[in-house]
Amino acid sequence: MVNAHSGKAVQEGDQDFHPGEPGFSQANPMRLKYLRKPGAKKCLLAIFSLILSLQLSAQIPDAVYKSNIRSVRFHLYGSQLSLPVYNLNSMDQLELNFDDMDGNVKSYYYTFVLCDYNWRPVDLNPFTYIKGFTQQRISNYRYSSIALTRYTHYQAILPDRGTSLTLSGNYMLKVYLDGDTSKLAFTQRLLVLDQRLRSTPRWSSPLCPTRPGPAR
Amino acid sequence: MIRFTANINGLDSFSAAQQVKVVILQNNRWDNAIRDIAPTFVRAIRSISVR
Repeated sequence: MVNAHSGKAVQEGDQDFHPGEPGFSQANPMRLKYLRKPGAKKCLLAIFSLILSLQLSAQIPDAVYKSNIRSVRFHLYGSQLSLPVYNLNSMDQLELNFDDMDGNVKSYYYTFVLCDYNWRPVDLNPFTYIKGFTQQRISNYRYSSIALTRYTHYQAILPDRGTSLTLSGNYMLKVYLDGDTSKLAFTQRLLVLDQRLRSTPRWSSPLCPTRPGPAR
Repeated sequence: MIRFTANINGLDSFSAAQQVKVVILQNNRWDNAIRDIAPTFVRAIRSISVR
């Protein structure tokens, strides 16, 4: 029963298992024994769904994946309360700030990933929407000076001169370690705007006959 | 209630009701964004009203 927890062994046994086959039970008595356990298949399914959910969770924008990353801020340059919106083919600059509580220097890189309306990555080669370098290293960092906690503050102004985006849409900014996208640190949303139409929304209080409207 | 229209005359002709997407954000927050809004009217001028 040692191998009962190993997903691979269960899977192999599952494929080989033919109940009517003569001599099977004599040849592999151990395999049959743990396949008969009702939990084996459910356990395998749980492992698979766990792997699947982990892969899906790596796609969520605005998420931090490393515990040493704190206070991620991403906005227009010099305007802390703004939404990160970049006008296509403009001189707009965005500012990315974050702290690494480990207090040492690591090489963080960023890249852009084009997403659809539902923020799922689009199945396109990055070269179709990024002109220039597809990833950039964040080389601007500063150690904490008067704080009691040691941390490193990183700042990046983007898009970098060597990189430009050529398509409008929803983008996910991925920040990761050592140029390896599997070492994802955090993600942020970025809107790239190609203004084709203008819309002027009008606000009005909803009409409710039973309750008087708010005081003007 | 927010009522707005979007004039799509400047865009290439396509199925506007499917291809024009609307997201409404409150205070730049994404956690309470209003999405998947169906237009009330699609005319030569597209008009949407919600809330």
